[in-house]
Amino acid sequence: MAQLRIRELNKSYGDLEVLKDIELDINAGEFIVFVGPSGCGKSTLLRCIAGLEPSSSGLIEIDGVDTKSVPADQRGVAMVFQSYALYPHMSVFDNIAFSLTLQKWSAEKIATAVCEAAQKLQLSPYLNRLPAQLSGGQRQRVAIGRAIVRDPKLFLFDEPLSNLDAELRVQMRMEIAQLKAQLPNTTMIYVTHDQVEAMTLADRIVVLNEGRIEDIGTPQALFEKPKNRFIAGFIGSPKMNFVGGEKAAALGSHTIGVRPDGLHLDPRDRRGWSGTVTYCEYLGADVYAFVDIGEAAPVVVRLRETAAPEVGSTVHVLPDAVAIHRFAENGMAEY
Amino acid sequence: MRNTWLLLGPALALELAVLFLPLFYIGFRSLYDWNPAGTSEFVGFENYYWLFTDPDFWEIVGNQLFYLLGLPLWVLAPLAVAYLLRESVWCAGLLRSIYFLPAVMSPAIVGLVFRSLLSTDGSVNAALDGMGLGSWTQSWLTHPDWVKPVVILMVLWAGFGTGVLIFTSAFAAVPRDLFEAAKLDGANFWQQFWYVAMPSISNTVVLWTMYQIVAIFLFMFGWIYVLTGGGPGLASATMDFSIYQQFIRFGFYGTAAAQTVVLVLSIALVPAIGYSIVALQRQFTGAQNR
Amino acid sequence: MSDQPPISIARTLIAFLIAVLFVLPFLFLIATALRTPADFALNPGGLPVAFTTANLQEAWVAANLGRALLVTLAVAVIACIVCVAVALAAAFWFRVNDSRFARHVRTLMISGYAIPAIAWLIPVFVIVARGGLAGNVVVAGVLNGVSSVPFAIYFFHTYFLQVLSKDLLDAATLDGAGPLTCFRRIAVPLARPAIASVVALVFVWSFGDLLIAATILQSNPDNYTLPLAATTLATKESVNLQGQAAAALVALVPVLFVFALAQKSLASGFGALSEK
Repeated sequence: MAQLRIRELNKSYGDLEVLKDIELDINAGEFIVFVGPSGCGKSTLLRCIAGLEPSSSGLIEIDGVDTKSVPADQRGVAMVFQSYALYPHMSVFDNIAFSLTLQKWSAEKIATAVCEAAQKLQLSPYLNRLPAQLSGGQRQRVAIGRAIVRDPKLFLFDEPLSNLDAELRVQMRMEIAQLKAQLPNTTMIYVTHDQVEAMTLADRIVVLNEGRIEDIGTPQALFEKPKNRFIAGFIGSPKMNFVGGEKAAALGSHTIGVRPDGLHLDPRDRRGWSGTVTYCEYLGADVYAFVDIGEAAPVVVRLRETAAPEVGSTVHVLPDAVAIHRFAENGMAEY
Repeated sequence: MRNTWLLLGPALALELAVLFLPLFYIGFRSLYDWNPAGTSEFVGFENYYWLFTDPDFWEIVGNQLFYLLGLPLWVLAPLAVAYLLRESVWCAGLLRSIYFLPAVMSPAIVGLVFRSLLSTDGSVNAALDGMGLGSWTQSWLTHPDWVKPVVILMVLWAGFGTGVLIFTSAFAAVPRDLFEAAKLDGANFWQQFWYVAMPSISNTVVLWTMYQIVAIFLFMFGWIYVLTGGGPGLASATMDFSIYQQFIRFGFYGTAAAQTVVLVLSIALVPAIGYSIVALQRQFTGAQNR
Repeated sequence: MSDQPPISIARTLIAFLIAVLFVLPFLFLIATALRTPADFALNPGGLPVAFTTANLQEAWVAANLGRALLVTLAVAVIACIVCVAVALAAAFWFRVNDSRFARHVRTLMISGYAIPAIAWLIPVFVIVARGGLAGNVVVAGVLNGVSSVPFAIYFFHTYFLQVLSKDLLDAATLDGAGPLTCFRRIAVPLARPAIASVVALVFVWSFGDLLIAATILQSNPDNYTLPLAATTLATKESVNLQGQAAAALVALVPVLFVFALAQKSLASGFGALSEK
């Protein structure tokens, strides 16, 4: 159970400012996801919270205690790394037990704790193996096991799934969601650049860009009412289409944004924006048509009718009135 | 964090005490008529004056420069053989081990082996005689014209295997696709060597070259001491050998110190030369890419 | 796996001819050491016909090679312990501390490799002799060890960069392992292959050293190392070629043994030069 309070946090390497005036409150037991493009500072923020990186200025409080002088291993923080960071020369058991051994727990207590964690993570048959003898998913589970035996107040994940292949990623995503359900009192912070992970796992998402927090909100809020163009473009897959110029002006905005499922092709080819189909992406359940309507990038339309238009044919793209997001010239949303 | 100094401390202290601080001491002593057992008189740069006006010193400098003539041989021979052994050679691993044997042997012992082989009444001359090539026999180690080339060949013999090993692992790091692509483009064996292999390992070549230059200044003592004793006269003597002789044998402490200072300073020039080669190379390839 | 290209006879032949140049001196050495002086005098370049171990026995006694072997082993073992112990810890420190200052110190300590042994050895000898420690085996061992510390730091540091990722170090920190614990429990066990390489190299180097031995131990014939004893014997006018060859042979055998035992470690040690 831990509350986290961050105030005016800054971090710079020489002249390079990585984090600028971060203000963040995280409630106990929340699952928070930091998301943003690479280089936005999300991992650095996580490492500052963990105590692996000193902040340049500002305050990080865990449960009301200023962490400035608290070393990393005494913050009650556990972390799962992208590269798993398992000790290659130790068995699975020893990897999980390492922190407890250093705390001088008795052998029986360690064995009990490790076995319990192993059971939870279906690792019991592998306790004597070395990390090199495990699959990627199993290694990631060991890394999680190493974190949970410490019974942390704060559970940090640094892009834990990016080394896994697509199928395993979906599975591990589910397991992490289940883990959160099993540990309702543990506060978790999860860093990713994958917005699907962010959407599916988070209670609240923190979107970072260039060292600043762009917005904080529930996945639904960020998806349905993005505060600005950056968030609108970043959250949601495939990305939101942006249309500017006359077409937007005709609808009374500087820029309008419509997600692919807010667009459809006019069956009678009369209304909407006319353009040429440049490409059709057939994904089984969905078909996405890329239509060049004279904007910087082709707009992506999720087709509801099964028949895909031919590449090169002229179509008319029509936005649903309720799906339109409007943005002012400064990028802020207008509602 | 303070206790982490326990980790660095011993190594730092030992290196400073044994390797670095003595250099300052010897630099300081090179300004004295140094007598380690008694009192030393300050003489300014007199030791250096004597050193630079001593023809023996210049003969030794000449020897060192002559030995550097072996450089192309020491670099190209292992390079070519490492490339040759890259594929299509039976027992390449065993051969590399055989070449590598001298690397583990004491230079003193290598010197001893060659001394017994090359002495005037030694096996090489006897074998030449036996093959009816009596006119080819030489006093290899006691003729001033022959002794330096013999030393160069012996350095080749001793360092060859290490060079092959180093270039082999450098070649192994070059992606195979690169060679296969060149093959598909119609490059033959030596074209692949010149256009694919060499550019990919040029850093290793520069490093090995620098290593050999340094070795010529640093690691010659054992060989010279045993093989030739620096002779005939000073015809094969190196700096380290001559410093040792002057200090331990003859007791010319002051000039030995001055000569040490000269040696250390000239070695300090080698990396500077190496860096400028690498920098030039970068500039050159950079210009090509543009 | 792509299939191996066919064996080239020409290239194999060239390679084997080169190998002959490396084997032949040893065969000559063994033959010379083991033949009778009379047989050698009769036909010095030909094949030996009359064998004897008398040369070996003579050399063994004359140069006190038995004791020299023990002294050399002691020097080499001390050198290995000193070098690995201090260099491993220092390399770990440099892996963990990557500040600009630490980098400068690292460069300095690695560049110690290029200081000629003769340059530091003479002043060190003067001090050692003043302290009454000339001829001391432990001093010779320590000096041999320290002379390899720059290389060992470079080697271990390169190795640590490979096996100790930043994530791994961070994980250890979060698990509560301070720098010393992390060194002892994680870095040292992981560095085992690198330690084997450095031990093999330092052993070979200090076993073969002549310069340090000839400076520090010269005054005490009881503490001559094999290279020093063998070369001292060989430079005596009275000793014939067979005796020299026999002494060289005795000095070679232990090293060949190490070579056979630790060839892989040695090779990866020398290979370190190509990595940068």
